[in-house]
Amino acid sequence: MKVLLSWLKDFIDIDVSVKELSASLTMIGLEVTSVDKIEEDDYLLDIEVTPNRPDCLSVLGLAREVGLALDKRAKHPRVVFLPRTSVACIKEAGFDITIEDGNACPRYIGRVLLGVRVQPAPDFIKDRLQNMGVRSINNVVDITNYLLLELGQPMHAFDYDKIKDHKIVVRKARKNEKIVTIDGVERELNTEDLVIADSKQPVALAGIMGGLATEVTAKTKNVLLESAYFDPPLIRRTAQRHGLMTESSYRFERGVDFVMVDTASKCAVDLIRKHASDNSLTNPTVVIDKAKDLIKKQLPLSSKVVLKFEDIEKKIGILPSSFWIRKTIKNLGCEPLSISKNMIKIEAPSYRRDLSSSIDYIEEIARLYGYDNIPVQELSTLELSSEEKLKEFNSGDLTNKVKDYLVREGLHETISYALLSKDEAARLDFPNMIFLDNPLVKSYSVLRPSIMPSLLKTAEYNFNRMNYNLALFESGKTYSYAQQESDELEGLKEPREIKAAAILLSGIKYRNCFGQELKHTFFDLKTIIERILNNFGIRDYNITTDQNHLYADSCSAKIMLGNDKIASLGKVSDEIKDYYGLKREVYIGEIVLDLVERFQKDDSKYKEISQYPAIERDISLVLSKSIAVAEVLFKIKDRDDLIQNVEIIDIYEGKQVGLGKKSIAVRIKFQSLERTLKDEEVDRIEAGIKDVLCAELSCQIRE
Amino acid sequence: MNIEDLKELYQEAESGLNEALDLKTLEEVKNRYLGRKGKIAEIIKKIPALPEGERSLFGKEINVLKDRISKIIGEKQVSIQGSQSAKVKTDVTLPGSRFESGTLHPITLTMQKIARIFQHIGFSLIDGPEIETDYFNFQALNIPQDHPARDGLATFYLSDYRYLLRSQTSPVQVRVMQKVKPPLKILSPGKVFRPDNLDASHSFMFHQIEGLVVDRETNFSHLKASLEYFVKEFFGPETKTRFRPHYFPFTEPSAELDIACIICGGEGCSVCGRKGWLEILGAGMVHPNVFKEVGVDPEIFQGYAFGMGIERIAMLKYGIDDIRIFYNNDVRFLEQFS
Repeated sequence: MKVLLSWLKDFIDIDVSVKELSASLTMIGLEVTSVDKIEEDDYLLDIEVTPNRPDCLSVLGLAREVGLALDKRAKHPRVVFLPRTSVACIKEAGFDITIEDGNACPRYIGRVLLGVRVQPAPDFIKDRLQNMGVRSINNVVDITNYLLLELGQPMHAFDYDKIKDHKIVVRKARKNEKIVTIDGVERELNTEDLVIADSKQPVALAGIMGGLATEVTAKTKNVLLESAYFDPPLIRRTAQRHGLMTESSYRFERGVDFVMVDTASKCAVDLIRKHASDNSLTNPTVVIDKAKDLIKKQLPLSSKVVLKFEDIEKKIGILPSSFWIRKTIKNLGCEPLSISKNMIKIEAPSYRRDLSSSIDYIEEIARLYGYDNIPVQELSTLELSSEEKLKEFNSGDLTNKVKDYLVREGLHETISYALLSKDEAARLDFPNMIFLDNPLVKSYSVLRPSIMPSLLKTAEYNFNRMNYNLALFESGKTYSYAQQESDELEGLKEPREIKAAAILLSGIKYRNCFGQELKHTFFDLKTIIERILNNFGIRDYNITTDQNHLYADSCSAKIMLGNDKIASLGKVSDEIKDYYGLKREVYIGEIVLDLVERFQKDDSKYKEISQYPAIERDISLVLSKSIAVAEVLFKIKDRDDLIQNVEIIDIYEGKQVGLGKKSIAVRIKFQSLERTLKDEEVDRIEAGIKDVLCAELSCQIRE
Repeated sequence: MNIEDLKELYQEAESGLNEALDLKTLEEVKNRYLGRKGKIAEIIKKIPALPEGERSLFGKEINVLKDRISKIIGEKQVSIQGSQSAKVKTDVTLPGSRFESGTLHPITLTMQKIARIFQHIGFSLIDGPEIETDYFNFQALNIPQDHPARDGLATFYLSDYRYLLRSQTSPVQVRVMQKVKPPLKILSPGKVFRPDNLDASHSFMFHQIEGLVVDRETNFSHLKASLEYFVKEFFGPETKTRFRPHYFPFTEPSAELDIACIICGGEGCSVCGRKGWLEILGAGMVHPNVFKEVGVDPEIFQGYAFGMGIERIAMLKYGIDDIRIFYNNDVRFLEQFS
């Protein structure tokens, strides 16, 4: 809330500089976010008022806080005595107010003012409004706005002669009712909206904005002045429904002071008589003495709370003196009803309805004692929580280990928006995607079903900036609806989030100044993904070719652990590359970390190292291209326990070996833990291997 | 001339190279075979004389040969340079040859640094879901429907408004307290979402870190101790702090922690908005209503909670003035955080 220093001074003596004042207010919880000089000796302070303190949304309320900050007491607003006028009483006998819903409107005061002269407001009102950012309309409207700012009570002035039958009904809107509000917008009303109506139709959207038809204009002679208390949540819902936030609704939805409803109304009458009187009349501006003050439901003006001193010390770690506490309670405008050695019984003023329990007073005491004056405790006295009990809440350790490993592999971590555009989602066509109900913009409206699209976008961004050599990873959640058992449950799809990490490689991996250069390949990606699995003790998986629209058919793999697909990887397909505008080869893969977490095991055991020499044999063979190398390796390893290791040392495809064939060379290492091997026994095993390869995989051995 | 000749040539070159023990000899051998008038150039000249069918195969073989010889020369050069370092000076100003080193994202680095500081004083790290319900994100945190406090926490919804993307990390407090009885001392980092339009200081997705301590005695002065410890560890021991009263529905008393602006030192500048102070985090004593909601007796247990935005702290730490740069992931940006 913005406030003029000079206006504050109407209610409180301020004998410190504006800088000191700002610092003091900030330290009791009313942060002064900016100070602007308006003129010599006057400043406009912008003060952040938190939603629990509607009492501070006025000059008066802020003056009370200044009083607390400077240890002074703010003045009360001057309430005028309103004389009765019997003539008017007779003339306006037909005036009446009905409240249909006492919960929605517990209090409504209507005062009729006859013989009002509408003209521009006096300068002091216009200037103050202008400085606080409110447009001047005319004296009557300006006076209500002036008091809204000064006292925090929004009021509305109607042209009394335009109120049909001079009847006011506070009720819910009827079906198909409409109102044109003073901003000129026709609004269709909801039956939950509270309206002020005359005998025929709504004349105001209660607590939010008046109607155009009954607004006070230059021609207005008689005014109906409304001051009321409306149910905060109701005003809030209506304001949200109509997308209308006004100075008035802002205060009503936070809760106004029930007592101030009357005080403000009287102050308004006083100002209107002073500044909007038609002096040509014999009886300048008369007030209907039979003003209606309907209290349908008495709000608790205050609540009584017992504050135990030991609770103060227990919560904030220090106990101020009982003298200080009592003085502070009084300065807050509260009534100390009784006080003993251990406790104080307190009644809060009507404007502090937020003070309803002991903890609320502890907070008041803490902030006014000064957070800076609360001592700092030793750290060591704190108890620790049990790691074991927290197990199900997953510490994120595994993700961090994966990240550290990928960084060691030379990859850069990225963090992207977890939302995709609808178009991207449609293009990628993942199953069970989650669309937001209320996206901010179309380009971010679907929760990402995979992290790979994020990395592809990052590649696009970097390629466009000529960053062609990319080794990236991102970890995070992926989101989709759980697979439904049957269509009947379609309406109750359950969203789920799965932890994953994706990796993208493109361009050059290594280059030095001697002209040596290595490019990223599919196999680099495969190694990285396999090592993640191996790092967590996962070894018994199968890698097979796969069909997946993200990857080119010629280079697409999945890694299966039983029936679970724990990872996939491949070369990005031309269609997807086109979609993201990628003109270079890109390799990408994703690993499901939740599955790694589930299947990880720490079964590493020491394996005895042989003290005897090993024998190595190389075998070259030619076989059909369609046979996977993994099969050859498996056949060899399976042959004999003395085989320690089988390694591929060369692969060749070309004219020399013939169409549809490939040539591979493997190096086999034989070793025993118990003895030195003899050439003859290795010869025998080698011959056996060759036989098997020839017989079962139709290999030809090249000598 | 045939393939066998090439094999012979290769063996000859290989033995020649083996005998080359200094760079000068190596250069001679190189010229002899790969030079413009070298042996391989000679052979290439003879290709046209071959029968047509053999030319292409022969050409390929020559290329293989060339590559193999070049490779040996390259290796030899490196090894001679190494062994002769005493005699021939290595140009030490040449860039070292290495694989690119990887980096963590600055948000991760900041998050890890914050987490380590709190772990050091006994906090346990936990994780919570990003897809939440109204109950955990608002209701259980003492933020009823129609409460103005929801204004600052606008929310993305999904699944016909049955679920939402959490707008703060605080729902983790509720989830943990429902299941694990105090004492508790936990820390939970993660993504949060609020429908804010993207600009230099706003993002609809950002990261927060949430802390919660509950036992029988932990009070506001402990809160001050832990958070001051954090600030001094993170920003340096000389950093000035102030706790300023504030309002959060789920804590009371509540506070915001400011540090003296690390740019201007408190004089007032554009980074701190002329205030001289920078807001770092929000904190407070857990509200009794939150305890009641999760079935913890507020007469027996008490404690504090805090939450801070990672991006803001990372921006201060690294001197970044536009939040969007975090999510562009330009490698020239990422490389800077090794």
